[in-house]
Amino acid sequence: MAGAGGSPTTQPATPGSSSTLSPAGTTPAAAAPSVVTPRAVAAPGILVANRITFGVTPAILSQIDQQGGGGFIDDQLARTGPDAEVEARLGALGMLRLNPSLASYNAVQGTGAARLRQEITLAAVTRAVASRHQLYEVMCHLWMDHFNLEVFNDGSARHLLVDYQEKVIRPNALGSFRNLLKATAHAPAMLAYLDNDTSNANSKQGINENYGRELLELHTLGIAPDGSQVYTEADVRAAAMAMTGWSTVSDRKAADFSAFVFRPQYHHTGDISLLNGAWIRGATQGQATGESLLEFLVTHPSTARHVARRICRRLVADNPPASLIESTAQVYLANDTQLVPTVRHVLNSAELAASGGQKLRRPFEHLAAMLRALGTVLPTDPASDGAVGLQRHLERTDHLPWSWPQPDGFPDTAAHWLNTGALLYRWSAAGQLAGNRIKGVQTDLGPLTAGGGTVGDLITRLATRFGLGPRTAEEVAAVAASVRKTPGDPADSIDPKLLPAIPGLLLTHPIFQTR
Amino acid sequence: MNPTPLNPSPMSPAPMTDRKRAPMSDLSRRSFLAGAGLGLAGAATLAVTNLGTRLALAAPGSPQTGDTLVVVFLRGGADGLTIAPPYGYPSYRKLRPSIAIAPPGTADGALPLDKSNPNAAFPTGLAGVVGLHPAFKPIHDTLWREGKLAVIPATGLPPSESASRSHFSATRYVQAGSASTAVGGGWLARMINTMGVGGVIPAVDTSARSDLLRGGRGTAVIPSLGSFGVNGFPDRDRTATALRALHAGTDSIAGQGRTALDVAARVATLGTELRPGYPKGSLAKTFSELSSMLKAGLGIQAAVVDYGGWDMHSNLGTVGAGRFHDRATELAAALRAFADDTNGLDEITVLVMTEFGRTINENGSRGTDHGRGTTYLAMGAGIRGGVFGDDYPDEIADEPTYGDLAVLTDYRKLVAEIVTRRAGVSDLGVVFPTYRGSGSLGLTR
Repeated sequence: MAGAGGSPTTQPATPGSSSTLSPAGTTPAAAAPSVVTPRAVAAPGILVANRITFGVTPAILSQIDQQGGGGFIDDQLARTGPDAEVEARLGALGMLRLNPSLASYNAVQGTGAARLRQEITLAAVTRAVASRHQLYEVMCHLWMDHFNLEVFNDGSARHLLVDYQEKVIRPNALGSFRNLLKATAHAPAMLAYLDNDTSNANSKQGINENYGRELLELHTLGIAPDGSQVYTEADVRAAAMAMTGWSTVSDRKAADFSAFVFRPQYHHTGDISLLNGAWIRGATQGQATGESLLEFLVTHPSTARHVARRICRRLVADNPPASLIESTAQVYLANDTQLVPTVRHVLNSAELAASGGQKLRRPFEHLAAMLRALGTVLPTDPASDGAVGLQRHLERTDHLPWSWPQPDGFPDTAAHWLNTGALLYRWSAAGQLAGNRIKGVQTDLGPLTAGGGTVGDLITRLATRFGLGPRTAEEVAAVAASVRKTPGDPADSIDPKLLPAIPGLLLTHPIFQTR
Repeated sequence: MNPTPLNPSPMSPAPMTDRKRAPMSDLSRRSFLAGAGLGLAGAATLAVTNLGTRLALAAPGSPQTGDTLVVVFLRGGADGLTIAPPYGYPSYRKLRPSIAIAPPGTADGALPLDKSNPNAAFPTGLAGVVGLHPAFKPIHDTLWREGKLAVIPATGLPPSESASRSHFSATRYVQAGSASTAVGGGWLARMINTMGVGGVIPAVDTSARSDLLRGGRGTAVIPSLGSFGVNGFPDRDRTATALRALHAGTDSIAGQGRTALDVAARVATLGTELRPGYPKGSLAKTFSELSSMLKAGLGIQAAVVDYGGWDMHSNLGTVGAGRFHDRATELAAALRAFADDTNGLDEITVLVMTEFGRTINENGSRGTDHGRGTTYLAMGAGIRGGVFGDDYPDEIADEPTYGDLAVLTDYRKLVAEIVTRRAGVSDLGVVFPTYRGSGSLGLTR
């Protein structure tokens, strides 16, 4: 998998040797690597809240105060669909309703393509920032990665992207993995992206194995981090054979142009078996053979581990403990691939409680966390300066939704995302957002900085609100110095032009880069 | 062709006399490196010997030459049979009815890689076996003619590491330099870590998309010089001071943060405009900025340029148009400009690699699917021009579904030669801990 190359570790920094990524020859899974220092690790309730949200808010902090971390988990697990209030706000984004059709196809050509990108991005930011169903939105992003595709740059499939997001991924994000897998397998966007729509067992050139391979490698059985796998090249071809005929309507005059269709004339009719006969097509024929294969795969123990690993990597650690992957896989199988009990097991695990400091916020998550922390008013017009400004930040940090070109999805490891250039982009965005320097994106610093007291009091209040907890005297003094004050000076003596530096700097804090 | 036994010449010390003297600007670049890395003693040594940093840094008896190693990674699995077409092979023409490249000397024919060039070497008899795709003409005209371009066909991951034909596995393996999960980070990162000295920026990654420099000490990811700085805050200097205080810890974020501050301060003065001679386009801009950094004396010993878009399952194209033509044209133009701008890659070795090659069979979409053997390119003033490799297959396997070019030269054989003979690594075991091969192809001077 991409991003599995190195692992972050905590090491004493030496002058001139600033990178503390894994040195040569270490085993990624050996230690319990920490992205931030252990002293910075948040209280348990805050830790789990950071893992299942795009950043804590005063409302969440107060909910945890009242109900405890467990209460917050239960509340979030009960929200298995989108937040209706936020969805209503997105009503004006008409492209989110595009279905497979010629009209949709035509709508996203030319300038329509840019508009589609803007609507998808604004919807993603709005949902992550404003939805009260935070765990649900986190899971949506997890499955967007697991079943990633990149069709935006393919004019013939671009219009299928929102259908994939809205009708395939999102409705199944906290349902069952079975339904999710099957929905992706029937999705025109997936069949086009991985070339299954043209895979024809009865043509001279033969099948296209692209989907069959990724179905086994990425979507179901997986390749373990140690490189082991249960399937062979012959199984890849067998899977591709079983899926031949799963295609899309190519007749532009048809009302259901580009929708799913099974093409019997493309289908391989001979014997097919996988994993040394563990699955055979048997009496099944046609589309039923593919359905049978998916049914076999979804409850295979390797799939259970692969899915468990993906969930644990998202919620717990870049290299999750083997014990947790194993127990999570068991829960997945015992609950017939249902995701709520599976995720509940992970969230209540001792492994998660011990995993403080081990997950880096990826750029999208950092942006959403900043917007949540600041209470920024989001733009509503996807073509506005504000929306385009936010999109530009995601573009240059390489984390614009649906822009990862490979089918393995955006990496979910600190080793991929943590580097000098990326940090500079994060810092600049923090300064720009707090200082209202992105045209059309408005942050009201009034409520954030009200409350009087000293400069030190103000810094501590903001640090707590942002989920950093109280900061050290040295850090408070350094932040105060950035506005030419000492911690003991009155807060209302700060030059208003310098004031944004305080929230801005706190958003650059290493702890704020983690979740 | 019959297998030609390779006669590996024992590694001899790099001939120092035939190396062109670096111009003053390059000497000052190296002087900066020495001063930063070795402190006063190192700088004094340099001043006394006045031999240039390359020699001053070399351990006694070591063939260290200290080139900056620039690795261009063609992400997606570049088709080695189109980079370097075996135009004389019947199976090549037969199995690629619409995408095969014609022999040299014919219309749209391949560029010759044969003995018509007196500066080229063919130590294993690979003269005229493959040509070069016409899109590479800009570097064929210069680097090949001058004997600075090595073409290594039929290379890649050995059979034990290439069974899955997965992009993700293959990319991880060739970037880690090993298929073992016990080997962390990239081989280029370990090369940097074993070198012991470094300037302000020992290594630059221009995108952070690859694992080659993952784990490299002091690696700076600099996607764009123009945006490499902190903005948005009211007071630049006080902000930098505060950021440094917030990044004083021992964790990896704080460490990266301090590096970012150091590097940002150093590159802030570099021009961001395109240097003379570079064409338009993001790849050329990347090489232009890399050249600016190399000339600024930052002590850069390794750099990575990730250049994707090579997974051409469909519409690979013809000689004059199509996906391969477009990518290769942009690549060749950028490499040519970079070479022209650096005195013919003086003290620089460029390695062009990819994760795997592709099937010999053209598929139903006029593209090719995942295979194994591919073609690497190496170029630089310290590279010996020619076609290198342990061998080339007598025939390219024509199985109904899996046919592809065999890997007859483990990619690590040529990379090992480059890192030891050009980059100056003495402990190859650190760079390639699981590589058991030996010998060299003789592609370095």
